[in-house]
Amino acid sequence: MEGARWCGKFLLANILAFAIFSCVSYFYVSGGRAPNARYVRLTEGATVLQLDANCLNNSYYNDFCRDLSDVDVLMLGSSHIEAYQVLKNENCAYLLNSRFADDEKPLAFYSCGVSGCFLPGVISRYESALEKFRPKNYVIIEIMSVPTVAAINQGFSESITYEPRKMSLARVFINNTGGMWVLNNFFAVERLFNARAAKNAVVEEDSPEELTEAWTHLVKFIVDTAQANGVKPILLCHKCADIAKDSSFCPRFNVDDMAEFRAICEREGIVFVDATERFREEYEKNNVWAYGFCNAGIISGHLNRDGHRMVADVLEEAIRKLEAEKEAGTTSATQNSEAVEAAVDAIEESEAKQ
Amino acid sequence: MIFNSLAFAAFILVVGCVLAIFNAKPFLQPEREATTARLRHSVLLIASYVFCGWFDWRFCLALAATTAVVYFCALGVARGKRSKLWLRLGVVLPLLALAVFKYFNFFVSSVASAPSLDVGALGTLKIILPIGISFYVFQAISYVVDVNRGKVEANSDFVKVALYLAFFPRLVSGPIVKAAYFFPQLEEKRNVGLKNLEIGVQIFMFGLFKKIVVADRLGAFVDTVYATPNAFHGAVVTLAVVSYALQLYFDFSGYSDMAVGVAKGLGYDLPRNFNLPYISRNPSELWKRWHISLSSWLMEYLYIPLGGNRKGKLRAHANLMTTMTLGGLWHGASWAFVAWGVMHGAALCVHKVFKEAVGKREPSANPSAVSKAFGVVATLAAIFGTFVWTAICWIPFRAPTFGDAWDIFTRMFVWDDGVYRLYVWTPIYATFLLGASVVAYVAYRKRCAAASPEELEKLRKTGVDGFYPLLDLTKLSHLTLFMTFLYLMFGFAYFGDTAFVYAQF
Repeated sequence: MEGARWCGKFLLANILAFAIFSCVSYFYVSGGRAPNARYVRLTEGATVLQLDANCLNNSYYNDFCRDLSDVDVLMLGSSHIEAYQVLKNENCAYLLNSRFADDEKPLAFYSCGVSGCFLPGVISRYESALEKFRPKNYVIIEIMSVPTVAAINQGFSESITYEPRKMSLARVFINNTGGMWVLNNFFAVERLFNARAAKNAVVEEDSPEELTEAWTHLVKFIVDTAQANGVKPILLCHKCADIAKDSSFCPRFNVDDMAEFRAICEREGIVFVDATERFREEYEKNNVWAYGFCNAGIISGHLNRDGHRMVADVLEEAIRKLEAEKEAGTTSATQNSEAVEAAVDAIEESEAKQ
Repeated sequence: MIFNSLAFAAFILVVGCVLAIFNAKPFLQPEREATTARLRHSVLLIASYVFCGWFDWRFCLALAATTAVVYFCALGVARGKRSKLWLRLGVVLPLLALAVFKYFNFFVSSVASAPSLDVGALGTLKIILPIGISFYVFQAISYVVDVNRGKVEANSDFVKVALYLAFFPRLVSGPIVKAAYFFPQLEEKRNVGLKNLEIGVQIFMFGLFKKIVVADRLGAFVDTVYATPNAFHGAVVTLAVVSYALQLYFDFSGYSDMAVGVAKGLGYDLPRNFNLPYISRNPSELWKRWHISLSSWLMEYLYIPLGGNRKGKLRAHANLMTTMTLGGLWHGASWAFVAWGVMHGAALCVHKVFKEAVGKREPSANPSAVSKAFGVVATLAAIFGTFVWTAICWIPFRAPTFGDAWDIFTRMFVWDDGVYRLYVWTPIYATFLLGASVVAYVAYRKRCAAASPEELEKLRKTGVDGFYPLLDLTKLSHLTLFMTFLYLMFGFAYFGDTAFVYAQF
């Protein structure tokens, strides 16, 4: 009898504890999304945000009096592009919108960043994204490492659309009672073991021929699909970096491989924008690090406020150059090169002044 | 198998269930008491060896060999015939094992680096350090010495001696338990009971919170800064130094709490290893509050046998330095630990000189408001100063090399430019600790107010006493509070790849 009474108390205590915990667990929900949902996240960085009708982090899009038929530049990528870790006015897509808003021909940027959507995910979503959002000028694709044959093949093996996920009431309840979070953390231990096993597993390296073939195929796909939709592709490369023992900047990818991949991209007409050099410059000159937060990994993790600003800087520079080239091309074919040079000079002059 | 792993959760569940069988009626008959106790001890011993062998089965051999040596030596000492020889063997052989496993390579590489000596041919050995050897070797020595001193009788029951050294809750990182504390518990009827379980689970979870929520999260920041100190601003480096002081405390005291909790759940008591060390007003008090079982061991089995303070002031200082230097070396085979020991030894000597110079002052019966305020400020300044010194001493303890330690130290004072990212968890966790200290202080004042003059004298000697925030889990409100704490703990836990800092020693 005594035991049964205690079990009853234990059950009730658990229900009450869940209810209390739900107040906190709400801050942590990241997997469950609903259109127009509001979020507060304090685990890595700090943000208060609202999703848009597509479950994407673009509610600020309305700040610039745009609607979805007006997308000029579409940004595809992972959680870095999604920018759940920074405030909305620190997000690179927001920064780009604000910087181009007062131009004679303003450009509207729309971010389709989705957590975990690395290169395979981007390839899988590429066609459907262009079809759904119909950008008019550019499509920006984020890459964070030198593409491997496996990643490219994985991307081509499936096709994913950007339909918003409807959350069932049960899912909302589970999320908000914190149960998912507790389980998630509990099984993090298991994931840790898996990660260790993966680390110890022998990884077969791609042969140079295989890589070149896969890269060429990927680049052609990106260019052809972009051309079919009337946009120019831009590849935004940024890669998590480390600080080496001697305090120097140390990117995590193989620089030679990335140079080869970049050459293929540029040969096929993709504009390749590498933010890594900008990150290095800011670190070496101003001690500013693009990744990490003061409440999580301090130099690792997602792009922070400074990282988003730097990415916005390099993208702005690249797009302004492209716009200048385009402008020069439409005024006169003969004056084309001069105009481009003049525009480029003007940009360089303004940069020098800054 | 560390305490914060799923493997340990399964292991303790099995051990607990097996021990719970002995609560069944047939085992509780008075005539079967001795058999039941023996069975209980055997189960615990087997569990302890499984726990030890889980890391590496060869560790069991080292543990068993130490046990055998200590068992026979203690009996030899007790017999009285050639007791000095048995005593020497009982001390030297375990120390020799420790020296080979822990210090051989350090010794060879240190001697090899001396320019006039050529011992390169000796080479280093591929030796793995048996888990917990530093702890059980000290226990083994204390047992034999205590038998010789007549403080404890030599135990002729091999299982009990083996269990004393191998008892799994304290095997990896202590606390170092004296035979006189542990053997009487083996003579008593100690069951896995609900009351013990209620207390044990709470203490364990309290320790787990310290480890997975506080220490590990601080560790992520500390590791980053200590890896490349020159990349960070002086303020960040300073914060990392403070963070490491907190991390080490929460990590090691968290482990000790878990050990105490597990033992309690099984029906046994382990001594407290930490008592709010960062509220110490001087280095001497710090060592009465930090890693209490080690510092009392060093005091009893090293400092006092060396002569303590009985052979003049100079000798007392030399003894202090020797004790702390060896205490530093006990932590690991590296000059950094020696430096750490020397720093603490120097601080103890300075404090001793200061104490002798100032002399002992009796507290005034009716102090004025000004002297009261001055007393408070002086106490706070002393606590702050002791903490700062302790945190500085941890720098060589944590830094990978002496060069790194020096870089960190200089950066703290030069305040060089670098990546500026102040970790928010450090002040939050420091506030936790401050809050716990204030609560303990208030409880201490209350006890003082209600104490008789004799009790007051005793309380003043022990000072502010930390305690576990134990709840009555039969009450719904307490149970709800405890469950909320558990959910929050798992919610805020850091699940990186981290092991206990002190397990490496």
